[in-house]
Amino acid sequence: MKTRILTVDDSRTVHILVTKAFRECGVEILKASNGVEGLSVASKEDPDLILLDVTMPVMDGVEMLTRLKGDPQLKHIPVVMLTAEGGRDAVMKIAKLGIRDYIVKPFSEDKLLEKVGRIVDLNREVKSKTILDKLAVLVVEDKPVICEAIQTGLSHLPWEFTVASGAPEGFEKFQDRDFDLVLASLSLADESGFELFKKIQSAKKRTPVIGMVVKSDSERQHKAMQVGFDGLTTKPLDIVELEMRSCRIMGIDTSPRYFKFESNHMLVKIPADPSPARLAEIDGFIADKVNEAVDSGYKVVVIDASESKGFDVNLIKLIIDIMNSCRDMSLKTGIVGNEAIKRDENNFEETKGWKICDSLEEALSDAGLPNG
Amino acid sequence: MTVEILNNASVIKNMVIHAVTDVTKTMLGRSSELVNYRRIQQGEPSESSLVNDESGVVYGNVGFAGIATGMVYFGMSQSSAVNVAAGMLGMTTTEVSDGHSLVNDVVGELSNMTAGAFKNQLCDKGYHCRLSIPSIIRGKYFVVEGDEAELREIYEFKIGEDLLVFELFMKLDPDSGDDGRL
Repeated sequence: MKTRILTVDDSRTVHILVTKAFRECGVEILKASNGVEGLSVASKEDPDLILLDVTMPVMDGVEMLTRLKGDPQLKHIPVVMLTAEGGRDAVMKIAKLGIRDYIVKPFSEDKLLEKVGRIVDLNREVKSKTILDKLAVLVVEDKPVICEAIQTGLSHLPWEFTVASGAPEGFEKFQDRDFDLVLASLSLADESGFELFKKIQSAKKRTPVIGMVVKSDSERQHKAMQVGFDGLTTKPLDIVELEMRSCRIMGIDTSPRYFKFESNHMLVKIPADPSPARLAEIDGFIADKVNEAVDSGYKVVVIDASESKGFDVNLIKLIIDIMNSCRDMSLKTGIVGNEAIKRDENNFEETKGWKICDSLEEALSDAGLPNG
Repeated sequence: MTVEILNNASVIKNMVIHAVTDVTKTMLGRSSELVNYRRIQQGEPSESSLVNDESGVVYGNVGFAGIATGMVYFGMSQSSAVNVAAGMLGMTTTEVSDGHSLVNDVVGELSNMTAGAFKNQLCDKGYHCRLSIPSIIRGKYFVVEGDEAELREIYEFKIGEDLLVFELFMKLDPDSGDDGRL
């Protein structure tokens, strides 16, 4: 997947210069002419980085940046200011809003590439990682029980954890090898978690950093957002939430966990303990996966809810979404359940009349396919 | 911080020269040389060397407001504007001359950068102010006149065969409640 950079500037000249600068890098350049357009494009396209001017009509860069950082869906996008506003006071004030870097016009291509290259990968097409890939995670936390909880809670993933009990040790280990993610406690002594973050930001390779902060510590949460952490997770830790946030920030494709293309059907595996967040995650993949199934010539989709503890409103909604998407593309669907699912079938208006199969073989046979 | 800066010709002059040479070197890859400088007093003629250019001129106009308030007019002949735009964007003169919009945009952005580079030096000396968005003026026999400015200067720079003009109007209000900070 190509790296995508959004340039927000009222000058067509700047758009052309930015496009020219990144021409050899295989980067896709998105454009907007003011803050309103910029927010709209950012929301729709989720770019990897935003180059943002200050002085623009309709909505200026400061207001756009403030709104961006206040939006939970957009605040993770790194922002580099590219502007003629370069007085010391202006730079410091804008920096506090949470930008990654600041380039004062006039700018050379070399400087632009150097600064952006510290934040996003420019030289090659980004290879999508999946949930099945081995990844290296550095955990910098002085509380052994939290380190243990992270490693144990995420042990079902093929991730390798390196632990450091303080910021100096953490940075030393960070320099020793490439990591895909850093989890850094913001409760480390002398605010050293923030110092560690600054050092990691200055390193050559872009590594996302998630701050771990006590839920009630709004001051540190605010500071972390301002300085530009890629994400935050609160203590006490919710391991499921940490996993999902880590995957999103690393750009990991988690769909292989739920969608499998077998020889003659696509299988949608519902997890045993489907939290609303997990179900929403699956729902987000439906359209693309159904399209992929059609492109690959599949005719049948089987929803495997055999490990579920029963129907609930969220699971029913997900299954309806899958069935509707499949029907729109002329795909047949089958549902594999269990005794609890069959018991619940008559408890909901929406599920009455559904054929719940006892096995995958039965579901495939119903759909007119041979088993397996 | 004091209005005395207006009386110190070399301070403002050095700021303008630094701004223009930095912009032209960085964005155009060309060195510029100051060939004419005038501080204009009340009642004196205020025409630049471009005023009689028969091909017409393109000027970018950027304002700044705060403790320092004023306007920058950054201009060149229309033919120079085409050359400058083509060089800056890595395009041919034919490509940039398709209508005026791209050349106007280039001149506007150069005005923005030059005014910004000048104004940032003012801010760092405590004369805080903010930039406006640029606007473009095209025409012939173009003269800028102003009564309210405490300072009025014209700078003319040569870049090869092209002449760039930087016209400055400025006044200071150190007691201004609006210090122009973001």
